[in-house]
Amino acid sequence: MSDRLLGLVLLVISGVFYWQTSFFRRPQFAQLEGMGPEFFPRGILMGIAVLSLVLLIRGQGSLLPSWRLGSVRALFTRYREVVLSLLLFPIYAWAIDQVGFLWATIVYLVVMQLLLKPRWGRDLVYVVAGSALFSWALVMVFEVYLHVVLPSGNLF
Amino acid sequence: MLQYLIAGFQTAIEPGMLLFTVLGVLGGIVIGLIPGLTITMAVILILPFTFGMQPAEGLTTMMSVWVGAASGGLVSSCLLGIPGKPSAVATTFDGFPMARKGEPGRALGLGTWASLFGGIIGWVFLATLTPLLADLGLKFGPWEFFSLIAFSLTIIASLAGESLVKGLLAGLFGMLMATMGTDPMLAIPRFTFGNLDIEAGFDFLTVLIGLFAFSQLMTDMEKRRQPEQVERIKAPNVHIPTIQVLKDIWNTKVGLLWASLVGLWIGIVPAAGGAVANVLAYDQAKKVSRHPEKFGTGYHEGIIASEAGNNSVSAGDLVPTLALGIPGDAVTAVMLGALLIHGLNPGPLLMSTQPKLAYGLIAAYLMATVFTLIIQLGLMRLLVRLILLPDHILMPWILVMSAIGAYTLNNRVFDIWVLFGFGLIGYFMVKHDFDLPPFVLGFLLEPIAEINLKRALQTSSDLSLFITRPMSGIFITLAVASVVYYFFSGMKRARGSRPEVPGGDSVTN
Repeated sequence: MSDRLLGLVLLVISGVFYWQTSFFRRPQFAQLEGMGPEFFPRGILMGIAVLSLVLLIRGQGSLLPSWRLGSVRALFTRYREVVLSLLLFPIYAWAIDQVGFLWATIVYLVVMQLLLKPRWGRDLVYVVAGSALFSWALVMVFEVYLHVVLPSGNLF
Repeated sequence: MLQYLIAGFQTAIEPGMLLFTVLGVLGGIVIGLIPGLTITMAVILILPFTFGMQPAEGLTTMMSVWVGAASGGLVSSCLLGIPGKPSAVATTFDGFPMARKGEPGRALGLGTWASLFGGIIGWVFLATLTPLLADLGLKFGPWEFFSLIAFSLTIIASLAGESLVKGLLAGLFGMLMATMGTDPMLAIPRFTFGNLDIEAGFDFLTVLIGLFAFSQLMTDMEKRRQPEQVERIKAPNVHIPTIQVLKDIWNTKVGLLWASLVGLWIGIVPAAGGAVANVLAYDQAKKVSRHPEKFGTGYHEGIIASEAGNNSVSAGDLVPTLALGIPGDAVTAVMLGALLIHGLNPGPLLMSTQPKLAYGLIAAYLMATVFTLIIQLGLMRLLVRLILLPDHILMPWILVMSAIGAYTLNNRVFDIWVLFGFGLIGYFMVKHDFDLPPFVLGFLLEPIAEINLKRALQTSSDLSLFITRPMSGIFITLAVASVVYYFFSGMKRARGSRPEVPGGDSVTN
C-alpha cells in the first residue's frame, strides 16, 4: 500500500471514529462540564486527520494499487508461511475455548512445525513428542506453580 | 539515599532474590543470543512466569532477563555476523571480522567485559540520578506532566523512525487505541462498538505482546523465504584470553567511558534505546580513537564501544521510568506494565512510598550485570551452541508463549484475540515503515495525558500556564525543538545526499 493510499485510509478511519464520538453517552452530572468523554479522543482524531492529509498530499506512490495475477501469485509465494500462520492463529484461539489449552496447543504446535518445515520423515515422532511435552510442561508450570487455571474447553 | 541503597542491596542479596537474578540473567542471555529474538520479546516472554512471585522478585527477574539479553546479543554478532538484535548491530562491525581472523574468544571476551563496565558506569548514574529526578517529579503539576508527555512523544517520533509524520501518526494512533474502553474520569464507555469485553479496555501488555512478539515473528517468517548466505564461525571450544581482553579494555578506557555516557544519555532521553545507542556509541568512540581507520576491521575498540553503549543504555532507560513513570523504550514500558500488575503505582511517588522495592531494583541491576559476566564467561562454550536452535521449532513455541502470556493477564481468551489483532496492526505498521515505539508510548501515556490535561484545564482555563510555568515551558520548548531539529537535520541530509540515479529502485515497501 502506498503512503498516499495509507493517508486516505487513515483519514477515513479517523472520520469514522470521530463520528462514533457523537454517540458517547454523558451522565447527568457531567452535562455542564466542558470536557466530556469525547474531548480528548476528538483532539487525537483531529491530529490523525491532519497528519493523514499530509501523508495523502505529500506521500509517495499511486493512490490506486495496480493488481496483476502474476504479482498476486508472487506475493502468495513470498508470504505463504505468514498467511497460513495468520489463518492458523485465530483457529488456535478458537480451539483453546473449545477443546482446552493442552490439546489445542499440542495440535497447533505440530501443525505449525509441519508448516514451517514440511519434510520431517521419521523425526515427526519427535515433533509430536516434543510438542506434547512442551504443552504439558507449560500447563504444569502455570497451573501447579503459578496457580493460573488454563481453559479446559467447552467440550470437556 | 545511601541507607535506602544499602537496604536495597540487602534485599537483592537474599538467597531467593539471588536465585531469581541468576535464572533471569541465564534466561536473558539464552534468549538474547538467538538471532531474531529481541530484548523486548525476552522480557515479554518471561513476564507471565513472574505473576506468581512477590513484586520485588518478579521485577528483579524481569530486570535480570533484560540485562542478560542486552549482553547475549553479542554471540551471534561475533560468530554469525548477524546482529542477534538491533542493539548489537555495531558489535557485528568489528566482532565478526575479529572472529574471522581466528580470535572468536577475544571478540566474545571483549564484548562480555565491556558489557560489565558499561553496565557499572550506567548503574552509578542510575543510582544517583533517579532519586534526584524523582524529587523534581514530586513538584510537577498536571501542566508539567502533560508537557512532559508531549515532549516524550515528539522526541520519540522524531528520533525513532525515518519519517516524523509517520512517527507522530503512530503515537496518536496508539493514543486512540488507548481511549477504547472506559473514560478514565467519567467512566463512560468509548468506542466499544457494543462489545462488553472492550469496555474494560485493552490490556497494555497484551497490546505489547501483539505488537512486538507476534509481529516480529511474522516478519521473521517472511524473511525465511529469502535465502541468505551465512558464514558461521566454528567455535565449539572457544577460549577467552582474559588477560589480553582486560589489557585491551584498559587501553580503551576513554573510549569505553565515552561510549557508556553516550548510551546512558540515549537511554535517559525517550528515544530508540539500545538500537540507536550502540551505533551512536560506536560512532563516537571512533571519533575519539587514535586509530579510527582500524574500525570495521576487527578492532577491539569497536566491540568495546558498542557493547558498553548498549548496556549502559538500559540504566539510562530506567532513570525516567523509575523516577517519573515515563518509559524510555518498549522494554521499560513492559517493566512499567509489570509494576501496575503487581499493584504498584509508577511515578515520582514510587521512590518515596516504596523505597525498598525501588532501591532493591537499582541494586538488582548491578547484581544482574555482574552475574551476566560470570555466566557468560563460565558457560560460553555451551552458549555458543544455542545459536544453532532451528527457527521452525522456536517460532511456534514463542507464539504459544505469547498466547499464554496474554491469557494469564486477565484469565480470558478474549485477550488472545486482542493479541492477534494488535499483532496484525504491528505487522502492518512494520511493513509500511511505521515505528512501533511511538505507538507503544502513545498507548501507555494516553490515560496520564488525558487525566492531566483535564485536571489542568479544570484548575484553570488559562492555556498560557503550559508555557509560563517554568518546567512545563521547558518541556514544551524541547518538544518544539525536537520537531525543528528533525526538519533541519532532514534538510541537511537532503542537501548532502547525492542525486538519485534515474530509474533506480526506490527504497519503499
